[in-house]
Formats: sequence, C-alpha cells, structure tokens
Amino acid sequence: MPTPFALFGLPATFALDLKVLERAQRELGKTIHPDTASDPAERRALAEQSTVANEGYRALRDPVTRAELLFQLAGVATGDGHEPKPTAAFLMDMLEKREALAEARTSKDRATVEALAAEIRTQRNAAEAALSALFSGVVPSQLDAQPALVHLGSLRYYRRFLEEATATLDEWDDA
Amino acid sequence: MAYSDKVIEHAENPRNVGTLNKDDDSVGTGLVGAPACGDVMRLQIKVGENGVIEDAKFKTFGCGSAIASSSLATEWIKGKSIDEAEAIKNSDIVAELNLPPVKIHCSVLAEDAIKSAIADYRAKQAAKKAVTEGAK
Repeated sequence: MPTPFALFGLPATFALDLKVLERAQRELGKTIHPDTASDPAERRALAEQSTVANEGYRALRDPVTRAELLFQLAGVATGDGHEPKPTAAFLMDMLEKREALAEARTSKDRATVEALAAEIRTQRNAAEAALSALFSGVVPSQLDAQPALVHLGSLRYYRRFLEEATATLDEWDDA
Repeated sequence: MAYSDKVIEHAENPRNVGTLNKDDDSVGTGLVGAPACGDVMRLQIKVGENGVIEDAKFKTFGCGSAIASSSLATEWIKGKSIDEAEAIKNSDIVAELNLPPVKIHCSVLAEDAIKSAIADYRAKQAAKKAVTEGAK
C-alpha cells in the first residue's frame, strides 16, 4: 500500500502546504468516487480506496500524525517508551501554563485564555519549523532522530493545550 | 473505552489536589511527563523528622486515568515511610484501578512521580547536611 504521501503525489517531508494537500485530496477524490462506477464490486473497491484516502488526508493534515508517519518511514519507533523524556524546564513551563489556563477558565478571563493560546501557538510554530528543518532534504536513514522526537513530544503538549483553550472559548461563545 | 468505577471515582473526586511549598527543605517535588500523550504530573511530599510522609499533594493535567493514578498514589504514600513509598510499583496502581493496557503508562507516570519526589527530597536533605557539616 502506498504511503499517504505517495497516495497524494506529495514528497515525504514535514513541510507541507495544506492548500496543496487539499487540492491533491480533491483531485484524487474525484477519480476514486464510488459514484463513478456502475459495477457493484468496483463501487465497493472505490469506497474502500476513498476510506484509505480520507484517513491518509487526516493523518497528513495533523502535524503530529504527519511527523509520526515520517518517523515510521525512517524506521524510528515513536510513542510510549520510545521517546525522550521532556526536560524539567519544559514540563514546568507546560504545568504553569496549564494552571494559568485553568484559572482563567474559572474566572472567565477571555483575554488571558487568548494570550496563553497565542503564546503556545508561537511555541508550536517554532517546533514545527524545527521539524521541517530536520526532515528537509535528508534520506530517512540520516534523520537526526533524537532532537526530532523531542519536538514531536512538544507538539503533542501544544496540541493538548490548544484543544483545551479552544474548547473553553467555544463554550463561552455558545453560552 | 470504558473507565473502571474506581478511575471515575478518583477522577471526579481527586484526593489531595494542590501544592506544597517547593522551597521548604522537608518538601520533595516530582515533575514528570508523558510525551506520547502530552500529560504533565506534579507530585509533592512533605516528610517529617522521622522519615514518614506527612502530606502529599498532586496536580495532573491529563486523562482520567492519569488523574486517578496520581490521586491514588498520594493517598497511598501518606503515612508511609519514604522507603515504603519508594517500593510502590505501577503494577499495584494498575491492579487497584483496573487500568486497561493502553492506560498502563499513566500508572508508570505516577510511579515515576513518587520516585522523582523522593529523589528531590533526598537531594535537598543531602545538600542541607553538606551545608551544616561545612559550617562545623
């Protein structure tokens, strides 16, 4: 089975233009749409291909799963027990920001939630830029895996934080 | 995935949430994280002269199992000597909370947090002793 990158005709690299990905998904979607076939067996086959394409699209869209895919291609294990532990300074920073977010949520302090989210987005963008650089132009076997894994771990923390901040803001908007 | 009743109970009514003064030399602080899921856990112990843990507090940002594991850990270590607390294994937490395989790392995190808090306490005591002896 082709990798999600190959499926959409994209280079296997971290720096990915989401607009290009979207366009590639639309193009592929047209050619494998189940409605294009009249034969039931062919329709089923196309439906399966569409599912694979949708999963691949989602995996590439999310920087965390995109990085995980690239590690997999490089033969580097990720996940539980395979990644370096975050530094004490990083954990302290995340704990303090999560506490500040929880307090702002309780006191309904929208400005603080937005400011914290903006700060984390800056940190996230820096981690994504670092990953782009580490994955750019290297053959998988030459990947400098340890620093790249540190950035992947950081990205998961940032994603968690931003999910929490977004959920808080959405809740207030709905109220 | 369904959480066990004990996990839900601890996650909804976590025991010992809070902070101890990390600058107090009878307080040990453990700060640990699981990069695979983005969890962060702080566990603190206050140790009496007799080496018994008088108080324990935690703060965890993570899933219900991570909160329950650290809540249970603080409950268990209170009143224990630091040596007894250090002997607690993540498998004890798994058994008590009935954690499924995908959540075992939460119990590992809690065990690491206990050990890291004890290590911090011991390092502080050693530093204190060095200062006292140096003054003699």
